[in-house]
Amino acid sequence: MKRVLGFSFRNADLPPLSFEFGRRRRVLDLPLIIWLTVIWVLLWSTLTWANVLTGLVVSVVVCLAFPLPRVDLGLRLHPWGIVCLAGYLFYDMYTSAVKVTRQTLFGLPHRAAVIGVPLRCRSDLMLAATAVAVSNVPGGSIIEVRRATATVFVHVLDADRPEELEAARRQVWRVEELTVRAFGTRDEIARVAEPPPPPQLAAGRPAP
Amino acid sequence: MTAPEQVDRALLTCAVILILIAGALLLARIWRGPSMLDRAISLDVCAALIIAGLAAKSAFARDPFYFPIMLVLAFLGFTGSVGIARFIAVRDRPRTPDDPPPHSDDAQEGPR
Amino acid sequence: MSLWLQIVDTAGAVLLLIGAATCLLGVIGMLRLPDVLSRSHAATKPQTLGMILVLAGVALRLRGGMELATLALIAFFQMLTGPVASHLVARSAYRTGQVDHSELLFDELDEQLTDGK
Repeated sequence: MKRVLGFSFRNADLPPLSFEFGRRRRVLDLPLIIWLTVIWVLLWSTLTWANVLTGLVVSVVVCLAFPLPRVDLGLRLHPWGIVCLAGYLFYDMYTSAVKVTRQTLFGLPHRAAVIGVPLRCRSDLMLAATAVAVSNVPGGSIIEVRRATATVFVHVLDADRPEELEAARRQVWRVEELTVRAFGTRDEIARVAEPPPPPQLAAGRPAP
Repeated sequence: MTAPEQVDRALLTCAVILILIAGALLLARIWRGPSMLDRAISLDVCAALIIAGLAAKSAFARDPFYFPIMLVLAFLGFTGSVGIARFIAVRDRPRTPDDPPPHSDDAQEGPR
Repeated sequence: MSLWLQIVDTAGAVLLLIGAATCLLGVIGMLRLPDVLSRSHAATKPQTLGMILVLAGVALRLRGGMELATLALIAFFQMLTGPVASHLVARSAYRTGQVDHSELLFDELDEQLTDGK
């Protein structure tokens, strides 16, 4: 007879920090339930036991009614990495906002360009997180993301000088490294610690 | 009312006025267009400005009453512009990049 | 003690004012920049930097644990959902030919699109 309740540290098939129960092997993701409960409590904006309990019940019901596929997303939280990422993003937002403001107020002549930046990480979640982080900065807007080659295409506002383009590329790589250090698994971090791809790859073409 | 509180009130009033001016300029951008996608971006910024205005109001009154509304706007403010972007993208698909660049307000015409 | 609270209050008001000014600068950028993609650069400013400054100002003036958490959640979701919309707008602007390709200095996506299809 199968066990009614199974935990992830006993069963290697399950994603980490989750458990399955019942005869139909429903999988509940524990961090997801806690996250939904936190949002529920914040929406009610008072921290009482009744709110926490109803939030738990509602999030379990939601997770059972709309089950997610059983995949390991590859999301790990590294607190110090998140602090570093937030600090760098805020600094980057400030400097790029100053740059864009100078561009708009004084009307400097500029030519825009679209550059392709190949990333080092391959997982979908890291690709999406990097794209979100890059486009939250006023200087970068993502036009297209190629999943097959893990390349993001960024619109750069002032592309007249080649060093500006290099700076934009290096900025995307820096954001990628910090994002993976904040949320990535161990082998993704090892991949990001390598130097960026060589220039013929950086021209936006996939590897031969 | 003490003098520092009056300074605070003056600063907050200035902030509200700046947000209102920004909203008026944004309405001008929505009015002028020229394309539907500009209006989609403006819609996003409009949601952000509404959140900022509500934040200024709660800072005035020291009252978290409007926080859930700001939260829901931050959740859902992007849906309108996503709808516009998808709609235009579907409708304009037959175009090729070789066509001459479009002029103003031709995004409102029918499919080409 | 009350002096410190007063200082924190005023700092919150100043942050709110700076955030509102950032929003205004972003909207001015939206009025002055020439095409859709450049405007979306300027539109990011009120959505992220201005929003964070305004919410930080409010957090300094309200100073409650629950209010702080709600404000952090507002900023988090604003930063999570904003790029979705701006990416979709930029992508459909590019795909529907609203980007003037002769204005661009060079364009590495165009080569790939024509190569790949």
